[in-house]
Parts: sequence; C-alpha cells; structure tokens
Amino acid sequence: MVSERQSTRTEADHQRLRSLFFLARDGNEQAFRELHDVLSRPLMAYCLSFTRDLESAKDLFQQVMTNVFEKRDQFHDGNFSAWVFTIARNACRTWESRSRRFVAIDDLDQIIAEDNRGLDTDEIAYVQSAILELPEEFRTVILLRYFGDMSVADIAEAEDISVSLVKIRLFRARQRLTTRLGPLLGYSV
Amino acid sequence: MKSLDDALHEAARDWTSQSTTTFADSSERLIRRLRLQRNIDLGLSSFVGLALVGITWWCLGSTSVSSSPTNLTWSKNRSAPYQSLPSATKTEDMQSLVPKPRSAEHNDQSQHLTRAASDTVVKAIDERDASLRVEHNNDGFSDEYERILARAISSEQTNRVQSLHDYIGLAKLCERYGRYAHATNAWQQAASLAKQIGDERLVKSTDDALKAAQKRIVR
Repeated sequence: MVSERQSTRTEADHQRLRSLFFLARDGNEQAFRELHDVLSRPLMAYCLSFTRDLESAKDLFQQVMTNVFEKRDQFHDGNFSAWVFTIARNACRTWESRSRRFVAIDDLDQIIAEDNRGLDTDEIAYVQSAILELPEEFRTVILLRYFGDMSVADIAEAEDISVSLVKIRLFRARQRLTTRLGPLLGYSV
Repeated sequence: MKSLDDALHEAARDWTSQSTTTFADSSERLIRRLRLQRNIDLGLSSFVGLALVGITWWCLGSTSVSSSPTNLTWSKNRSAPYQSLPSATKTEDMQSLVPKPRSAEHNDQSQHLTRAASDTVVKAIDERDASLRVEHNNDGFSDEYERILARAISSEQTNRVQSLHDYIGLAKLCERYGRYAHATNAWQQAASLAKQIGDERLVKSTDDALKAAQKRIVR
C-alpha cells in the first residue's frame, strides 16, 4: 500500500502559504521564489496528467504559473492551494479543448502508444509511459502523489474529492500498474 | 527485485530532473514581471505624491489670498462674484495678491504642519531605535523611508505579517538607495519579527538577507 503521509495540511501550513503569497504579491522576491518552489512540482504533475507528454506539460505549466501570477489580486482569504488548483484546472481544461481540436480525428491513446514504443527499452521511460496510459482519474492521483509529492489530503483538496476516493483511486491505479509493470520489475501478478 | 513504489519514485525523479530548467525559467520570468510591476507602482505613487503636493501647495496659496482681507480692498458690492481694486492701488498692493512661493509668509503654516507630522514619526523612531533614524534630504529617500517605517512600527503589535512586510520593503528601499547600514537595521527588525511569527522559512529567508546585508557593510 502507498506509504501515505497521515498528516493533513495544518492551519499553520495554510497560514505559511498565505503569508508567502501575500509577501510575494507585494514584491518580496525571496517569498516569491519560495512559493514558486512549493508549487512547481504539484502543478507540473497536474499539467502532465492532462498533456501526457512532458514537453507540452512544460508549456502548460508556464501558462498556469502566469495565470496564477496575473490573478494574484483576486485572492484575499481562504484556501490558497484550492484557489491555485482551480486556476490550474481551468487552464488545463482550456488547453485540453484546444488540443482536442487538432487531434480529434486521431486516437490519442494510439498516438501515445506508438510514440512510446521506441522508449520501452528504457525502464524508467517504460514506467512513465505506463503511468501516462492510465485512465485520467488514476493518472492524476498517481502523478500528484509521486511526481507532485503531495499527501492524500492535499490531493483530495486539489481535486475537490474526498480523501477516501483518492485512496481508492490510488489503490486501483497501483493494481493496474502492477499488472502492467510486473514482468519488467521481476514479479508475477 | 524492485518494488512498484521504487519504480514510481524513480520515474518521478526523472520527470523532476527534466523539469528543473523549466521551473527556474518560470521563476525568473515571473520575478522580472514582478520587478517591472513594482517599478511601475513606485513611479505611479511618486507621481501621485508629487501631484498631491502640488495641489496642496496651490490650494494653500489660493486660501491664503482669499482669506487675507487686509491685503485686499473689496468693492462695496459684496455680492459681486469678483474682487475689485481701487484705481489708486499701488504696485506693492498688486503684488500682495499674487500667491507667494514657499518662502512667503502664508506658507509657513503648511511647512509647520509638514514638520509636525515628520516630528511625530521621528519621535516614534527615536523611542523605538535611534539607529533607524535617517537624515532629511531631497532625494525622496527620507520621506519614503519614514512613511514605510511609521507604518511598520504602527502595525507591529496589531498585524505582525504586515509589519514584517513593511520592514522588508524598507530594507529593499534602503538597498536601492545604497543605504546598507539602514538596510541592515531594517533586516534585523524583519528577522526579529519573523522569529516572533514563528515561521521557519520566513526566519531563514530574513536571516539570510540580514547576513547578506551585513556582508555588504563589511565589504
């Protein structure tokens, strides 16, 4: 089972994030850098769950960070990370609807499978492609958990779902990955 | 045999290392925008400040002329919408109608008011820490310095985060003007407040900034 960090984000954590945000908003560069560091991996993981390819995820990540920066005057109080992920979700949905227009006639799964065929010899790339081929709801929780290094509670908050549902999705995602990666990792399912 | 967790962590580490440059680029790009925005804000506030000073000066000048009956001879018709002068008015009398610049007598009141406000700030600073005090000059630094410092001191008890932010702003202002000794004092106050707030990362960042400022003085 996933070694979950039991601690939920405490009020002190929220307060620290908010303090950093307000300092950064008023021009404090040090606070801005710290805040950027805290948000980078979770947001990149989230973007990757939509794009399923790292290069596009990098572009989308830049867009999300820019959107957060531009909307900084709109946050006054409340749950800061939920606010950030709402902005990220909107940007990702916009990206998704735009990119769908360009690949509508092709099967994206097929494209990804073909793209990754050449990488299968590389173990890490194989694991990565297995993650990216998971259905969206499983892919997102796995990416946020491992790449974003987020706790179950933080994922629930970001995805606006219950903690139990996150746990169920993580469990099922890991089951699928075990089936797919078992032979590579040297154990039978 | 590798566990699934290990494999997933390895994959995540690989993505992280491939994204490092993007994270750094994004951070730098947005910091440049932040600096630009801050400079625009500073420029705008300076402009608004100057405009207010100008308007205040103009208004005080006008008030002084219209409320100095001794310098004027009113026409018998008091309801007339304008002031008229007797034909025998001398040149000196005419000149007394023109609003005088700062050195003029009627502007003493406004200067006194400005000095009184500034004295209050200076007193507060002296009570707090004389090392924070700055000499007055005309480069815009001392006014801005005292304004931010007064705000930082006044919010110190009621809103520590705001006060911390003000001290950091103060330190940055000093650094921009090359006043490194004052910047160090402001960073000291910020570091002390950060400790009171109890946020480890804020404590670390203010301590780092303080050390950097102290090194600059030594150099």
